[in-house]
Amino acid sequence: MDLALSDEQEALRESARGFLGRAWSTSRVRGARTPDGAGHDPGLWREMAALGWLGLAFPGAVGGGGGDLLDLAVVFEEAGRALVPTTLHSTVEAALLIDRAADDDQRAVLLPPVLSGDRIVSVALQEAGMRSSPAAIATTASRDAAGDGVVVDGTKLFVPNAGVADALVVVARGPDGVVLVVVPTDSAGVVRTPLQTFAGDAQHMVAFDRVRLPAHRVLAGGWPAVAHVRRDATALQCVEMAGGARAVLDMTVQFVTDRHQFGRPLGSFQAVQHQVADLSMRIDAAWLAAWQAVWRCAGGADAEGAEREVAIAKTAASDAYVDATLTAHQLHGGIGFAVDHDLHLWSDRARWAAATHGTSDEHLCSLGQLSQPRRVS
Amino acid sequence: MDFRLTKEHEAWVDEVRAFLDEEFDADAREAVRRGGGEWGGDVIRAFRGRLVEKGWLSLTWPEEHGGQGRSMVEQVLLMDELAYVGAPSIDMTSASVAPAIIRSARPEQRDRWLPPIRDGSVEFAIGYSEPDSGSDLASLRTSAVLDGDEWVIDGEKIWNTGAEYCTHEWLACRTEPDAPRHQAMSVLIVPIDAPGITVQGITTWRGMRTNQVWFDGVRVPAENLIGERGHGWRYVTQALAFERVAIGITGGLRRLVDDLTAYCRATEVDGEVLADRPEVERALAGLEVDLELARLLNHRAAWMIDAGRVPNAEASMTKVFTTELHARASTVALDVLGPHGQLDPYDDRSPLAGLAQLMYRAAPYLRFGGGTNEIQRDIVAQRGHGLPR
Ligand SMILES: Cc1cc2nc3c(=O)[nH]c(=O)nc-3n(C[C@H](O)[C@H](O)[C@H](O)COP(=O)(O)OP(=O)(O)OC[C@H]3O[C@@H](n4cnc5c(N)ncnc54)[C@H](O)[C@@H]3O)c2cc1C
Repeated sequence: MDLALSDEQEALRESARGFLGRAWSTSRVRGARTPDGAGHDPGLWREMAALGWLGLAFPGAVGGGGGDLLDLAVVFEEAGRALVPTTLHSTVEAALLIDRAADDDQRAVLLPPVLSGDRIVSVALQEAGMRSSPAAIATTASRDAAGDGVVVDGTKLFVPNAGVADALVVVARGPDGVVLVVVPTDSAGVVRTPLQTFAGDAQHMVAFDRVRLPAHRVLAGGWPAVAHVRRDATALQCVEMAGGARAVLDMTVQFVTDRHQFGRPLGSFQAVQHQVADLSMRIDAAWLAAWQAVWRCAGGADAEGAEREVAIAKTAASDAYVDATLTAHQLHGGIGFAVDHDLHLWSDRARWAAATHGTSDEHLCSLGQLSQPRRVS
Repeated sequence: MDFRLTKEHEAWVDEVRAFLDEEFDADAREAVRRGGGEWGGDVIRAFRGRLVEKGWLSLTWPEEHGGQGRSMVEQVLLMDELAYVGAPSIDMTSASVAPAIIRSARPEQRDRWLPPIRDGSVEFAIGYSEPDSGSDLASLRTSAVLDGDEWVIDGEKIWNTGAEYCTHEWLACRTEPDAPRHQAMSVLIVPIDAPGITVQGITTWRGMRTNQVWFDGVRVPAENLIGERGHGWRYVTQALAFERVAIGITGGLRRLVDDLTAYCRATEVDGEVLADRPEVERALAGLEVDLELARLLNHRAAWMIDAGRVPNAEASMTKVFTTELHARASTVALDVLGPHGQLDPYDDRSPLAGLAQLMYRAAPYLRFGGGTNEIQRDIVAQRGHGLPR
């Protein structure tokens, strides 16, 4: 057992934190929250791409950096602290999906421009009336009667960053089960409508109306690839959330140290300290669970059973992050409720993250099915 | 980063399990269960003797002190396994006092006290609490005054668990009456059969016995003062950090959740398998999550010790998280079990052999024992995050 990051990973963390501290601020986070849900910062994007973050966990052959999921997690944790736009998650998840589901030719064409930051991609999975069952996917990918292509029909919801994405990996129902189709967003028949969510972030409804595409746009891997990549992406998101929760805790500790009432710093009151202590404990626990999940997914041990760790981590991360923001609001009092204050930026992100990649409720349900008594004697 | 147990660790767990299959048989289990926590009972004493023979009470001591030089993670794994089968665990003499002696005592004191601790012939009752000094331990009043080459002790301790069968008292007392609170204390080792000591039992809700102990002009040799005069606060807080890691063990909870899950899968109520009820499945899954988090916090604290760091906030975190979970998990279990959960452990109709109710009644003690959870939260906030006292 060794719960420390490697020296290289520590160095990566330091440089990521340093870079984001210089290049990214809460005023730019606000700037990226545009009413049309663009939710993206092209300047930051170019810099992150130049640092190799997008390709961190991909092999050199497709333009990646040859690292693994753990390296990526280091960056995601810092991205979570700093509220980097979610294009980072959605693009990395889409790229992981392409990497897993595509054949060599497709990979060689599709991945390099994504990993270099030239093309933004996202995943279109969610539909109305669907949580995580592939059986509920109603979007179809049928054979094109007119040629040897494919025709996509249907409507996706909560597609992250579709407004700025150049292409979407669409999870659809083909003649023989779930298929993945890479759909350029400028294809005829694709209509993107921003969803008005309270965080003003970048989620879209995307309608596909008889969208015709050549056959080479269809990736071979079906639902198993989706399930696998969602598992990895969920684990990464847990680390990202733990990073965000820690940022909220740090900010709150600073606030209760500086703010005085009754002639004393707020942080000298025990009722305040105990809320800080409870958060600290839950966040540390969630952080450990998140890293355990990433480590499992990265193949650190028999990746069978990683689902269990991921479900635990996501439940813990969602609960800890949401709890951190709500407690932070309480401890900040009125000032933290003003939109001029930065706190709500994390509160919005926490709620988005808790609803993404499975809610605590969904993960508890799957855990109920997964867990067997471990050592009955 | 590597969350896995090493091959060595896994082999260790196998060794412990094989030992327990052999040495902690159904009769022993039954005796412990019926004893309701009588830690001085014959079966437990005999089993403790087997742990001594194996050298497992001195598992983590350096080899130069006759220990096995094994890691704290291995000790925690051992404790998890012991708790899982309901066996008596590594007691505080081994889990908390011995590490403090190894770190803080003078060399001749180590030579004097470690061998008899290792062979089981010296066992300590821990004398911190007093009737008027619980959480505010630094306010303790039991005093020791140097008279020639002897300390003369006067005062009163309470909650001295094991004083009725232990050989010595690990006594926190005031030796520097004029010094500031945190520099006024020393730690003395006192034979419990010394003239002037009176031990009186107190029965607790869980059924276990603890004691009140009076010291009236009790004399011990000057060299029984551990380490340096006036440094007792540091030794006590260090020993308490180790104690908290030991209290944060999750093997007993693992057993509760496993047994409860198995019971819910095998039991029909109103024609429905309990585990098929969504609220039961959800409750079990919630426990599964929190139990894994508790395990991670506990194993992290142990890992930190192995890495040469003294966990402070981290020891408090594992203590609070695990003991709060004890209360929550046993409450959930008793809710799921309904009226049957009340049955005494020796009633054959008692589900989970009474485990849920035993843990339920132990939970309050775990939450305030070893430093109350309120005080632990203070430590996390103040030492972990630098908030002002
Ligand atoms: C069965 C049993 C076995 C024990 N074994 C031992 C033993 O072997 N050796 C030993 O030395 N002790 C032992 N203890 C004592 C135990 O450690 C103490 O009970 C514990 O430290 C709390 O002290 P107290 O009971 O005096 O409670 P108090 O300190 O009076 O506390 C009562 C309540 O007030 C709260 N409180 C107190 N101060 C504060 C504060 N500043 N802020 C917020 N809340 C506060 C506490 O958290 C608690 O909830 C044992 C106790 C029991 C019951």
